[in-house]
Amino acid sequence: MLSVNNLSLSYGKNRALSNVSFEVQQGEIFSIIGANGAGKSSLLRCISGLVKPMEGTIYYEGKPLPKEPHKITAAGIVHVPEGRRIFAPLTVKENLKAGAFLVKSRSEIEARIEEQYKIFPRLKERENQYAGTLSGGEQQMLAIARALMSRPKLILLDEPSLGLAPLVVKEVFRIIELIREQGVTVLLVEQNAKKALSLADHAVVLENGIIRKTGTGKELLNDQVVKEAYLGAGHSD
Amino acid sequence: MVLFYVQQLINGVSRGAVYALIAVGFALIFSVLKFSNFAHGGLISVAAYAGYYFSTKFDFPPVIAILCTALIGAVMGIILNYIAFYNLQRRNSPNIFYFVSSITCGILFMNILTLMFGTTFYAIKPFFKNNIIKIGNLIILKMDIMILALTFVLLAALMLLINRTKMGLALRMVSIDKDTAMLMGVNSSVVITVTFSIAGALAGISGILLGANFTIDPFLGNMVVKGFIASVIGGLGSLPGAIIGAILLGVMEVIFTVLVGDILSPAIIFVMTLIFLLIRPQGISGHFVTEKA
Ligand SMILES: Nc1ncnc2c1ncn2[C@@H]1O[C@H](COP(=O)(O)OP(=O)(O)OP(=O)(O)O)[C@@H](O)[C@H]1O
Ligand SMILES: [Mg+2]
Repeated sequence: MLSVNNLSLSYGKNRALSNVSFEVQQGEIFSIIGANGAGKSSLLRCISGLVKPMEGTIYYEGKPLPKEPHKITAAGIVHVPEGRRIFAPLTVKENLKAGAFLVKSRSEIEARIEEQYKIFPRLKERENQYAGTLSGGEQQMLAIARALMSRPKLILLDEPSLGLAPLVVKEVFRIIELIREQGVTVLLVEQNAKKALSLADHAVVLENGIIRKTGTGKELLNDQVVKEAYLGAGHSD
Repeated sequence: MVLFYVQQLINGVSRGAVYALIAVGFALIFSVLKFSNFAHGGLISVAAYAGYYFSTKFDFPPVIAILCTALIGAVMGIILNYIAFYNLQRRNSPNIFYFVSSITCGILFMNILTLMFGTTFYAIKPFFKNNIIKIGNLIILKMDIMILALTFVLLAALMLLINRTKMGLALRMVSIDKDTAMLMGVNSSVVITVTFSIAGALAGISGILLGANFTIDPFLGNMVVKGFIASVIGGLGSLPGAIIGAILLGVMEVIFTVLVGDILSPAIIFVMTLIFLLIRPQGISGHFVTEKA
């Protein structure tokens, strides 16, 4: 459904991505793991159109990806950015409406909001509260719910478990599986390598902007190099 | 005596209303692009001359002249964005570039006007043949009433647009977090163009109103400083703050002119503004809009 070919990106002199290629299949969870600064967020920003790669192509559903972010969103790809980036001065409900920005019909938007409240009952309780006053976990749920408001075909999740308590992390991963069950393809960036790999159908390891390993989630979980670098004692949750 | 102060108060509020139109245009650009757009003053000057042509040369009725001037302002706002800021947006340039570009453009507009019209003063034909309404001993200017009504309608319409429409939601999203707004499907260049056209229309209307209240010269647009002060008092980027700040400024100007005269009054207001900002740097509205690098 998404194929990334020989993607390269630099910020000035700093090379963030070199020759990155991989393919995401329809309906799967595809994980990207890697250390800080490996280029994971940069990769997602290329796919959602926020930055322009210098080289390489991205194909989505067999066609070249549109150029501008709003067209990419309209085509069915939604990006939940690192650090949640909810609209803090807007209410929870307004944030959800913002997520359905491309939906014209008001009744359709209301129906989708109700749908999200079923998945995230906590958000309904807080619907008129300013989003900035939510807890970290609630903000992450809101960021995901807001993204789902557009009914994406592909969702890009950038470190959704970052900075959350173990119980909430568990909840986040449960929701990621739920999203996939609803037929949405998931591209997941995580530092929590163990969780991300056990969930993933396929995965890649990104190191200094280069893809080091490719395989199924299981293969990478059992890979000696990956085990030492990413699943060592300090890295397991 | 009481009547005198009531009259001065009306006078001050009406002056503040024009400042509010300037301040809101200024604050709109600030909240979306995070820089102080001093080119706004250039637009005001251009609009004042346009207003002179429509109302005095072509003899349009006031309402039509105001509408035409607003339209010119909107178009100029869009052109300004394309010549001064569009490339900066594409290159993600730092804010200081916007600031410099806006000041340069403001000066450029004023210099072009000087070349075209010289520094002769132009005067707009009074909007009303008989400008005075008498209620008992109270004398009210029709012009003041018109300015108040017009400002009220315009600002109410703007608030409805921002709080009740999809475009308004997009504008708020972009002003909070442009990248994330784009991820939600907002076309940020459309939002920025619309913002410049609204700010330009407001500059246009304030230009013709200033032109009608004072005489017109190429540097009339330097009144943008009043809008700037008002929006700083109100809290940069906050629209309600800008409106309150502007009315306050207008009333203070009139009161201090009466109390200490024309010459001392600006100095006193300046000092009071500084003291106010020392006590409350975030302005009346209270939420800081930090300039993003
Ligand atoms: N806007 C930018 N300007 C300059 N350099 C950048 C920018 N964004 C990222 N970089 C650099 O690009 C490299 C990759 O950054 P990126 O954010 O993609 O890494 P990451 O894998 O997401 O890291 P983390 O796990 O910490 O989020 C880093 O060296 C970073 O410093
Ligand atoms: Mg990152």
